Amino acid sequence: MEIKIFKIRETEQEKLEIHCHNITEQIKEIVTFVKTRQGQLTGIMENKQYEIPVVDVHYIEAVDNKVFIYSSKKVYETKQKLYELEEILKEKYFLRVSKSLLLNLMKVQSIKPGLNGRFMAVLQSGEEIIISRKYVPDLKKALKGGAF
Amino acid sequence: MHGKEFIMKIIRTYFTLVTLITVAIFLIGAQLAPDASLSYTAFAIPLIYAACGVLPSVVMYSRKELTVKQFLVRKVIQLGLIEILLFTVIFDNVNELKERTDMVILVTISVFIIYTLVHILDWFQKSLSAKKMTEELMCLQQAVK
Repeated sequence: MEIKIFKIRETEQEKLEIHCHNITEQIKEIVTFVKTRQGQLTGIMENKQYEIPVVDVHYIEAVDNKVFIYSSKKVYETKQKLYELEEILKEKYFLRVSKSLLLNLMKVQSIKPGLNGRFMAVLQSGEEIIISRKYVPDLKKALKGGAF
Repeated sequence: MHGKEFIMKIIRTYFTLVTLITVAIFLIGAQLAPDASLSYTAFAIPLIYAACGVLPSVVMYSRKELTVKQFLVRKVIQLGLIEILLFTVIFDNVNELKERTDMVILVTISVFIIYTLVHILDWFQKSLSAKKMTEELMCLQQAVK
């Protein structure tokens, strides 16, 4: 695929056009990546595709090789890998807090101690998320503004 | 838990135990034998007992993060080992253990109280840490808004 980048004036709107023969999985991946960078996640629920604003996402969890996006009331499945989302959403204040979970720090109401060196993140929805001991130093660093 | 982190925790617990055992000996001694005179070796008792208290912490070591069930089971085993180790150090033989039931009960209760206190102090420290993290989180959220 040929890649062309054109510089435009400040007054013009930035856009990305893809010219392709077929909308393949690779093309869909590129589109999903761009949307994610722009603050939109693509999720599937009951065979329908939805655009989910990143600001509405509470956390993203990997369960049995599937990745799920959790908003306040709804759960969507996504085709993106957790590590990909971790990398892209780092700038949006998402942080890995366990092996299988990315937490939106903007949705956390408070942090409280848990068992065995762990901490618990209490979300604005009242839900509690386990912060694994291994990821506590990363969280402390992030809260001091060191990870974003 | 990494080895270094685990050792640091053991050292912290050891000195907490030394303090709490010294307080326990003072309180129990003042009640049971207020006029007893002690030799210099008495100073070593809290150090030795605290060592007995931290040695069974080895059962808590795990490279993988323990589940809540595994954690609680290991905690019970740890407490049992501490009791056994201290009985072995305090009492010379089984007969003495049988004859001095009042002492056995007192040691058992003291160990349990100190064990609980260590965990309360640990919880308190973690609560402070959680409170600090919550405050930092609020600042971060305000800054982003």
